[in-house]
Amino acid sequence: MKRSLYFVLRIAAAILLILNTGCWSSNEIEDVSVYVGLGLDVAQVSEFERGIEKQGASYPREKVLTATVQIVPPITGKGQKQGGSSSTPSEAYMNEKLTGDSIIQIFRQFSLRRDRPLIGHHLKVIVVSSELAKRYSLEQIFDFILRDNDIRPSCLVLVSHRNAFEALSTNEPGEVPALYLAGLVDNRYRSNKIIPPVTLIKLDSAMQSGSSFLLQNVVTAQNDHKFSGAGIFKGSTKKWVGELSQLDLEGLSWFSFDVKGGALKTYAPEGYSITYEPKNSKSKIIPKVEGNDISFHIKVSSEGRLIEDWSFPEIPSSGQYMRELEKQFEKEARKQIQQVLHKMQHVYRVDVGGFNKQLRIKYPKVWNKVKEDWDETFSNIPITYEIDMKITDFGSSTD
Amino acid sequence: MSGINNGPKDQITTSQAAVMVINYMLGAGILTLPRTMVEAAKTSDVWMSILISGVIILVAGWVIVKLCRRFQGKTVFQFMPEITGKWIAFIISMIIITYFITISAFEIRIMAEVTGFYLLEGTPAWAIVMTFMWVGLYLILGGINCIARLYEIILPITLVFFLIAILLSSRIFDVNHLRPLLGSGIKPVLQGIKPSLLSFTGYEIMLVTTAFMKNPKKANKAMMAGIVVPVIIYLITVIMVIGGMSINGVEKRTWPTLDLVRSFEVQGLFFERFESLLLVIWIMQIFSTFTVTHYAASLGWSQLFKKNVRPFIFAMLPVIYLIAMIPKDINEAFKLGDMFGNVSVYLFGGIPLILLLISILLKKGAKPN
Amino acid sequence: MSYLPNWSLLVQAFLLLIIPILLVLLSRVIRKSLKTSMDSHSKPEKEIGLTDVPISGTYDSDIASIRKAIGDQADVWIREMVIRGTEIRAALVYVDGLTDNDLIDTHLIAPLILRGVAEEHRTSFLDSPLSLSTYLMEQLIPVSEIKKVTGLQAFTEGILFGKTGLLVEGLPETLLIGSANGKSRNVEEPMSEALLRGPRTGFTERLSDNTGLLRRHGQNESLVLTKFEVGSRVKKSLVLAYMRDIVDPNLVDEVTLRIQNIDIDDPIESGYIEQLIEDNVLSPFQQLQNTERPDRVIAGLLEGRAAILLDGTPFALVLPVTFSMLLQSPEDYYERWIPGSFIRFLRFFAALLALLAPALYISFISFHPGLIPTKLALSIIETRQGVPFPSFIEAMIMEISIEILREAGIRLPKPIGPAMGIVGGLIIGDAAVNAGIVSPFLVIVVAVTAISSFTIPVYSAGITLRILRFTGMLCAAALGLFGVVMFFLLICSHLVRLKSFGVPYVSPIVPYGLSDWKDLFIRFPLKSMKKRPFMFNPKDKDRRN
Repeated sequence: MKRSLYFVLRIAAAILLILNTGCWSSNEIEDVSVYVGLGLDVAQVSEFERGIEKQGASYPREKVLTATVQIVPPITGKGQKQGGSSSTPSEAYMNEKLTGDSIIQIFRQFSLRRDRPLIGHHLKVIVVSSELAKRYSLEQIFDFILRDNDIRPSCLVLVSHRNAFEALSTNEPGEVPALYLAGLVDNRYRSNKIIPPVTLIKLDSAMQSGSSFLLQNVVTAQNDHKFSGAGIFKGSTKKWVGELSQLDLEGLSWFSFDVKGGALKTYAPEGYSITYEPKNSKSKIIPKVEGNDISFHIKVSSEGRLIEDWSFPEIPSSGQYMRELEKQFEKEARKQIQQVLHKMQHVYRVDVGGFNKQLRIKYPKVWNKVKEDWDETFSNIPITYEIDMKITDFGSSTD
Repeated sequence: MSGINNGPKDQITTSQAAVMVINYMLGAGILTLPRTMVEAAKTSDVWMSILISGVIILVAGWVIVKLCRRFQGKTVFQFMPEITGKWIAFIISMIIITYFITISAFEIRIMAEVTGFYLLEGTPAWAIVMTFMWVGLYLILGGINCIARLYEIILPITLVFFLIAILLSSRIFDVNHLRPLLGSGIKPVLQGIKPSLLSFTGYEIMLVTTAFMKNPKKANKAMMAGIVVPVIIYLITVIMVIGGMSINGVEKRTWPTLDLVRSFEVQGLFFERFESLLLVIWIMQIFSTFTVTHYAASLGWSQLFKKNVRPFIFAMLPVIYLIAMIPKDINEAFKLGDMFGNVSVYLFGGIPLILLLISILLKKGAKPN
Repeated sequence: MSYLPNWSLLVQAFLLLIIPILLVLLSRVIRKSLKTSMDSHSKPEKEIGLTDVPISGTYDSDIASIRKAIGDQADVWIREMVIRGTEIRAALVYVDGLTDNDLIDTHLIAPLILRGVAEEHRTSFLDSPLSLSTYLMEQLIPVSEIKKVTGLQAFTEGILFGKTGLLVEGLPETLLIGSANGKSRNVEEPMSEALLRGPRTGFTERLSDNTGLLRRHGQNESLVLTKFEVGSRVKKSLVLAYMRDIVDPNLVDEVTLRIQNIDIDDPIESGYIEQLIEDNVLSPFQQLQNTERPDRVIAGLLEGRAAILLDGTPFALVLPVTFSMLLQSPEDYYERWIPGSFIRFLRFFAALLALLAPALYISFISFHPGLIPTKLALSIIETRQGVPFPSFIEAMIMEISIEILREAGIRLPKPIGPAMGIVGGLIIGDAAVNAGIVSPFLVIVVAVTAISSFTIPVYSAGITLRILRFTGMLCAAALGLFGVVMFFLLICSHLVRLKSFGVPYVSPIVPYGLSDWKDLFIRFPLKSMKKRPFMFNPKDKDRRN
């Protein structure tokens, strides 16, 4: 008896599973639009939208922002001809623009135009234009994105110097700009001008902690992109306040992030350019508290190789010559650091170099006292630094 | 057909008893634990709270085992009348049964919420829950031995998948998020103990399972192992989640553990995304928590009224379902869980101790050698 | 008040309860009908129209009654003669094709007609006919197997089973002489369980050959072969083999009981026996292991298991069996332990793949596009453009055609089998992709699944997985990944409840036991496998002394 009972139960469970096959949540992968990039701009009403609005097809909204979604692979056929799309059929992606004052509403508007609803599981890159970030706090802009269950917290966040839409466009056939941008971040081992990737989750925790932070900047010209510098966001407002240049980032990288690669160029006393490739760098920010006075000391030590030397006539790589070059490189790095510290403390008055972190770890009690107005406090704190560079080898040629 | 190796009664081995405790403890809590603890303590030192509450739970577990071993072969529902008399025992048994039912319902609700949010958006909750409960019913009808054996299959899968998912998150782990140690003193650590105690409910199942153990003398060992493994898992979880997302990031996420695994992608590996692994094992763990509480509640009824257990197993289905559907939204569900977590602290931290003291004083039950 | 459940919730709760209860009631009805049909199965008449009359000793009447009983059978031959040196008439009765004509000519007819009774004995028989039979047996007929029979029915039965009957005038009994020479196959390599390394012998259809193979395996006194007769209309011998000092006596008792309870007119193959003595008729999993390999049977016996051999089939049954054994092959032990373990591991993985791959495909494609790596997702989207079916239907089409192909492959004549396989597999698959019915990615999934299911060493276990695969696909189509997890839990729940002759089907995976795990996923070095599997409760626990 038992056996048949169990069997019947088992069959029943199976059958009911089948009967349950309403497949409520089922949605074939080719019937959805996968978007890998999202650009957020200040409102720019497109031709298409203007056209339909003339016919009265609009809904109440303020023109706050324009969202661009990059859909891959592009939907072929009728989707192509409908307005709003600015891509030509030869491209591997399709950019769609819509304007509104709520991102989720904009996304839902897409389903009025496309037979394939958007899914955000594969969103890789979000580009915010500095213009938009200047007007609205990132907390406002990203509120939906952080709540959504589709978008993964691993998504990369970038800021664009000009238009986010441009940053998500390219002339290169077959290339998907969003994936291309996401790939650039992996080049950190080759350049110290790229800051560690800021993903959504890191952005969230940075915003929650109230400290200022950087986002990698994308510069576009003629539909080609380059990472250059970083946008600065102030902790108190989460708005874009300014930019660090490439050179600033290089300086910042010496003490703020671990340098994994890059090229430090300076000029030999004779005026020829010489280049140092850092291989192994260590840095330390040491906070010091005496009474109410806080100060920081930065210690950088770097090992690397002399990779390029334009000196003419060639100077043999003797120990003494190396010492001399090391001094030159140290001087150059010092200059870079000084410059970025100046920008942080006196131009923008924000701490994006991780000084707060060190203070919090070493002197939690002091930190609790000053954390409310840290960016201001920081601008008046004396910072000293020492740099120690060592050329360990000269690449494959010995002279 | 009668089996050959079957004794007169279903029996479980020591390792099976331990596995039951582990599987019961690892339940809905693992996805939310980092947040509840950070919310309560506001410090990155909460992992210490886990260690402390682990020790507390060990003591509570020891009391329970001590109590149960005085009454060999009897579950709490059977031996309580001997200690307190019929009526008090009846009331306490009812409370315990209600507790089991509610925990079971709570787990189901959380499972339905998460599944509905991340895996099956748009599928009605009843479809998810009914399938789940029927599969559970099929298992429970097999008795405690089958339950224990299934758990033994689930546990290694859980541990392996869990370790893979959580250790891969070391890519975004930053030890600075966990520093400074005791930056704001010991007090927040103590505040974190309470929420972590709530997620350690589960050891109480030994009140029932000790009676089924082949070798009740080793109940202590089973309890130890049953508590230490979840403590380690919770510890790893909290450390990795806070280390990966910092307490600021954890605080605002509803399911921080899941978000941690969603916060990275491993290029080149076949999977790339590991939340599927985590969700799979998590559903399995909820399944085991649900089945064991469902079974314990049904067993409680049957022993209270000295009737066959099967009708009660069936009867519990709609009861659990209705209770699971009472909370209107997920916050109310969390509140329900917290409430019964609190109840459990008194119910299984306090009462067994009192019972043990009474039974020692009145010399009830056999003295374990 | 607002927390009171509303009516739709109450209906759901009611359904939640009532559906399993209805199923229970349904199962009771089914059980009853099953039982009554078993009871009504009446035993066939013992008599086959013959009344058992003793041999009278009067030659004419005896031969007449023999003719009446079996003389109308086309293949029964009766050779009459006179024993030389006497006036005694005799008749040899035998079935053509069952007996060895050479033996009858040289060892029966020749002594009787040519040599006859020697001069000095002739007179002594006239008064005591019985001593004639003793003389025949002891001095005249040079054949090893010879038996006296008094009843006519036993006589005719013996003849039909391949013996030669000798009826002698004046004797109130007859002689049955063993001369059986039914045609049988040579010992060949088993078709269904080919190995690269290992003995090339397989069982044949003849029971005596098979028991001989077991005996010949090595000298050993503890091998017990117990004979049973099964089948009510057609009697067949069945041998239960076990090691006297290893096997759990309870197991032998249980098996004996179950064999004695077998009630069927003719157990044609050991599959009949398997289905009649298994624990759970309704389970998709087999609870006895069938094998053609004597080495496998011996290895099983040494683990404390028992084996059943049936006359007329090369498939022996080994019992009890557990899930992990279905994925083990004798080669695991013949190879060194590292390759052995590797291959075994591979097989477990393949089994998992064969069971779940299409289900996972469906759930990822139709439900969770977010859980696939981005680049893979993009290429899947591109390849699936224009596929008109949802992934479930798509996968069903391919899976069913693969199953048809496989089934057809068995029937195809050997020379064209492989060719058809290629045609079916490659051309149809390619054409389906080109026609846009299925996506190329699915073809890979289905192909991998199909190949994986071939790695399972026990063919019938492979079929089980194939059936379950379809259930898994249904679950995935309904509830996505959640459905797959539920499916997995359902199978596990079933497995933990299943027992094979009292041994839990999931042993030795659970309960945890280090000793038995040495022969689970990893095959430990033989030197470390000192104990017999604990799960079979063997009498002699140590593999060595």
